[in-house]
Amino acid sequence: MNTSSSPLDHPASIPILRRLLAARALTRQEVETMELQVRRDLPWKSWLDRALLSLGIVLVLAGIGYFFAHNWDHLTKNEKLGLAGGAVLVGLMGATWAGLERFPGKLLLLAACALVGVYIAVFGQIYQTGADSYELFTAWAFLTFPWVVLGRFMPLWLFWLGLLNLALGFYWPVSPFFGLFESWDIFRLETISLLLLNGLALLLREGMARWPISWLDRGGSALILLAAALAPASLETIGEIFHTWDDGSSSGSAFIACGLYGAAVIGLGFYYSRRRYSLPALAIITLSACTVLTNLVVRILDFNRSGLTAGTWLLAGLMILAIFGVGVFFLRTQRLSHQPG
Amino acid sequence: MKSLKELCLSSERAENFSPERLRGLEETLIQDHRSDLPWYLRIIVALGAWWASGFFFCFIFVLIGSQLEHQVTIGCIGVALLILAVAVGRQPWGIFVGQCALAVSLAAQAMIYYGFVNENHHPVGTVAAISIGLAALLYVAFPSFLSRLMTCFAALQVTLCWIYAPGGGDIFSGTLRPESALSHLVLFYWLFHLAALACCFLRPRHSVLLAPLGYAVVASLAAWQVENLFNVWVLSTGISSTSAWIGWTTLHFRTVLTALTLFGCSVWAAGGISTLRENAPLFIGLALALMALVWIGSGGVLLSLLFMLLGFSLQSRAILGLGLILFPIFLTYYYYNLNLDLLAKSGVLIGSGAVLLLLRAALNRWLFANDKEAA
Repeated sequence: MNTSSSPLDHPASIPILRRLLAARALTRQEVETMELQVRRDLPWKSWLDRALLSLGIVLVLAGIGYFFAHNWDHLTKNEKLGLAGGAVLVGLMGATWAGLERFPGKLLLLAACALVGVYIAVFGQIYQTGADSYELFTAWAFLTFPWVVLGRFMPLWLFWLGLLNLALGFYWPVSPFFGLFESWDIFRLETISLLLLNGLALLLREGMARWPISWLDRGGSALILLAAALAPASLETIGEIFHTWDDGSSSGSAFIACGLYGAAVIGLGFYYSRRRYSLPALAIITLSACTVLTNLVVRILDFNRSGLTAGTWLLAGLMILAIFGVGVFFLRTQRLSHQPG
Repeated sequence: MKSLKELCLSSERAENFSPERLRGLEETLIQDHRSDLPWYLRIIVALGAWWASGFFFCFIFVLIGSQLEHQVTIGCIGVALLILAVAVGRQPWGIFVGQCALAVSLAAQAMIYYGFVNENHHPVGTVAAISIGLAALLYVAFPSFLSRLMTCFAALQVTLCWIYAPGGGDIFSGTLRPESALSHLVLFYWLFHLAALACCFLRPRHSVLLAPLGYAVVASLAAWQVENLFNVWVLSTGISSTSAWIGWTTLHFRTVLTALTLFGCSVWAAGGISTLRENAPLFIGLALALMALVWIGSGGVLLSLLFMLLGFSLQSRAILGLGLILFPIFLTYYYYNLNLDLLAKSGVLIGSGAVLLLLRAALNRWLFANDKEAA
């Protein structure tokens, strides 16, 4: 055991002390004395200070919001646009003043990017542009792109990617190039395009992690991108599996979808277990795979027919138990094999 | 923050901590860490176990469904399944089997309720009695944190339902329990919740055994307050909210009790009565602030503050998180329901925000100044 990672050297906490009491490793009197000490050492003052500051600011801002809500109908078009645009400018000026290298500056830039959406919404409301939702989100993403590049702030990039996801999501149902799609085609196009968009973002994020880029986070964004890529992939595969129940559909696309999904899951599993170990990432992949496999079991056992027998339910339950059991076993093995000591 | 080792060696009982004992503590913590799964793995385990259990239940119902003619038979099967679930759940067969046992035990409890409750004869009272009995029995027999929490929470909420039900009968019958009896019961039950909360969490030796009950009480209090937010009980029982005595009892007296508990917990968190004497002006200020909150009738805000205080001082993310979620909900609800126009609300919001910012400035100027200088 490496002495530098001894659990005794970690900061003491009340839950740990109570666990030691439950395990009878410490006595009641010892725990009571230590708890008192731990509670005294808690950062009460800084917590109170931050709570009062943030609550005070939120209440004042809400009050200002109410003030404008009260006077909104009396404002002219120019005043409304001026207010919304002014808020964006204040955010930008604040970010420049605080410095884009510092956290408050980055946060203010994020606020300015969010307020651009408010400006576009106010503009659309005043001039009744009749623009589709996807146009609003595309314009929003287009206008804020330079700030996102300058900001070098991962939450800002994720926010921008969220805008692109929304733009893409709202685009397919009203797409002018392909005529009127059937709902199944729209679902398919949406899931595949979102998978490609978020998958590309994940590839870029993982590629950038090889370089010493100071503003990249420690891996939280990779997990968000992985989940954002796997969710449409799983939905598309499950959709293809159940689509074979519909009249006149062939099972060819379902086989292709399952094959591609399986290859992607195995590839991602290999990458996050061997190349860049991450247990949370493996958990996301396992959960996605177990969900798809469970739905595959439901399809193979043909739960669509009437009069299901007791044996079918039992078999399905056993297979689900086996699928999740293997998944959990894989994750526990990975965890133990990467644990120090 | 001090490390556990520093804490052991600097405590009044430092002589108790020999190098061998410290090694023993280290081993216990390592074992604890190894057996403890991260939360996201627990979720996957639970999802799989509950999903599979659902299919197994369908299997059982399809298998025996055609032979069931009497409700009581289902209740008896529920009892048998519950015994089986408890027997399996007590074995050290891993978290996956434990979750399956929990799912089966909950479904078995539902079968017991269905099997043994007579719809025409005091159904709510019977369900409340069974739920309390099952919670107590399973607390001892089934040592799973989640099982204890869920059964206790169910018992607490079903008892609340019985309190508001007229004479322990049908809650939707429209007939009322006498107002004085109802107000006494509500008050007593609220007091019971607060007392249980303090009893379960403030003493380490109680917390070891009673933590699941404590969390169930926290969840029940939060649910009750949210139910009050939507007037669930007033609407379901047809209680007139304009009734002076009921209104005063169910709102203000409960708020007073919550404020008193909050004050007591803050004294406890600060280190006890001795600290109260040392920092008398600070606690007088806190008492005045609490009195102001009681006066303006923001009971939900007080409850969320109590959760935040408990969560922070016990370093419990669950309670702190619940408090942080409930706080903006109750605060927004309070301001939203102020009988004022938008301009006046704007003034009140800006005013209260300014008061908090001034309070912060005053604390930094007079009370925390010495700490900053020392730092």
